[in-house]
Amino acid sequence: MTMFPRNATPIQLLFLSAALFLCVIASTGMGYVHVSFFDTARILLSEFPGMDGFQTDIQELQRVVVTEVRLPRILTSALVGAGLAVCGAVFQGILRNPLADPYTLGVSAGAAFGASIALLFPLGIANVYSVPLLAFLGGAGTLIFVIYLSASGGGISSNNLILSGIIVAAILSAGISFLKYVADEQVSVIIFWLMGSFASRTWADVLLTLGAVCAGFSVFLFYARDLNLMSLGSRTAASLGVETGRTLLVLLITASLVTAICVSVSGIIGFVGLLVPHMMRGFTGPDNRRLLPVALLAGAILLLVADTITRAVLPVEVPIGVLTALIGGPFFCYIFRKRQMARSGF
Amino acid sequence: MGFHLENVSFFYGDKPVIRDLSTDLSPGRFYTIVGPNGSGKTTLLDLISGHSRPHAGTIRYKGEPIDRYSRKDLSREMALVPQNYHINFPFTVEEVVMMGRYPHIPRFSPPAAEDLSRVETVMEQTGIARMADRFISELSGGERQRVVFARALAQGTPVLMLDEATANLDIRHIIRLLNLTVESVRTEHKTVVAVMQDVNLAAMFSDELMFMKDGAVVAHGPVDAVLTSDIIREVFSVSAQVYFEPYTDARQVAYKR
Repeated sequence: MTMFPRNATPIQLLFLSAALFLCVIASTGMGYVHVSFFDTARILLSEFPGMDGFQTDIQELQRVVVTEVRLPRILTSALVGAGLAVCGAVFQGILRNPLADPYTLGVSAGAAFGASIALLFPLGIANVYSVPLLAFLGGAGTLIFVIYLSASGGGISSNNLILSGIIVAAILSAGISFLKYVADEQVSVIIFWLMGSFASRTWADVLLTLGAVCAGFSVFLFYARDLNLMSLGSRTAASLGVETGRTLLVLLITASLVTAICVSVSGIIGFVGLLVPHMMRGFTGPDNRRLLPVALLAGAILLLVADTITRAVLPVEVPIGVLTALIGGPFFCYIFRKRQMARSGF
Repeated sequence: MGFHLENVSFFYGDKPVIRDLSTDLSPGRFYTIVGPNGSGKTTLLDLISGHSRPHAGTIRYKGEPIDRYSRKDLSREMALVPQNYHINFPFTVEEVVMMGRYPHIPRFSPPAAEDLSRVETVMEQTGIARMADRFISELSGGERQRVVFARALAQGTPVLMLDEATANLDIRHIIRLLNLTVESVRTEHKTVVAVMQDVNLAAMFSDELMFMKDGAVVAHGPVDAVLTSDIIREVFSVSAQVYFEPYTDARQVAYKR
């Protein structure tokens, strides 16, 4: 009897899709302006062409709040959660470490550095674009440097990648501290950005994240079987027909770009990319062909719920990055300790 | 038709690991490479399996330079049992053995009936059928090694490479797996290239021994021709007596302590 029956995956996916759909509708109704569950559903339906009849008796205020304020924020948070979760699964596979996450290679530190520069030298109205753009460039640039640093004649080893990532991230956080020191009165802006937030996201953010996550997810699914073999080591993977060098590079770059885009629209949100794939592996097993879709949906639900809690449930809006770290951190300690106990046979 | 190596050299940095090595390996033979630590045995396996490229010389497989083959093609020709290593992800034993069939299964297809039956047969033969649903990450070193051995057999390739593949096994499983290997050499005309530390085991199961020292071949030939006390002294710098042991039906080495 295996704990992970292969045929359970479609049911898990169906269940998670339904849960995600309900979460989106329920959370859209929650907040300062209350909109009932059915009104929310009607407003959403009426957005599709030929469905105008659904919203005849709904106030304009509610419609605007739902479609222009809440929905972009809710969809962005779900997409970022999905993106971070699948990238986490991919990083854990290629680094052969179930405790790696999308930030292991310093992508977050690079993005934070880029965003800090953009915030320190505000361009007025263009800041809306310069912050995510520089965050993205910082994240992508860090990745390229980390790959360059860890590449040797015989290819790239996962240990070298992790070490290079740690070194580069350490340098960059010193850089960020310096920028904060120089920033003087601007320092609060930087600090708030670094803590992550989905407040005032727009449809442009939704489309950007949607494009990145969809493209990345397709690449990951295409290489999912190769990723299974890579997680057993490159010599094994090569002997089983994987072009290890090319596959590693494609997965590394794709996952880092998706991460950088997620960071650029939301700031730094930790633990989602680490915990979601780690927990979902308990339901799907480590086969990435099953893990990736399940992690995608679970990540979306998790971050959406977390963002809704800070937006509509808590009396004060806690930065989402702080919330995920406050909940995810102790939870991570718990499962990590449990695993150590199981290993040492207590 | 097997492997043809001509003046092959390989370096780690400035350090030569394989020096100007030339040899031929033919199908239907069981070759074992023996030699002291750091003599280049594993590197030689990496070179003939196409995992590393030589810095000088050529390696041909079936008459074609090895670098003309894609990874996919090679994975249908040769299987590797690597040295024991740790696996961090809880794949089940059956999943790991099925990975040996990946080279034969198109990317998005489920395994065919032939793949399933092949995996089942191999798990029976290697005695791991009882562990089919256990997690590879929770097995002992020896059990894990048997699973990886089964995966290589499931791959069903004409060439099988064993890199100290039996180092962690108890003697019962060593004999079982190596008998299985010898049988496939006889019946399926497989080429086996093994690296082993135990010269006596190598002598029992191999057709030919290849003694390596400092990246060069010191002696290569049928066991009875090359396994002598002089060669053992030259390669390992130890005193030894070589004699024929009727019980193992092979030449064996007794070492002086």
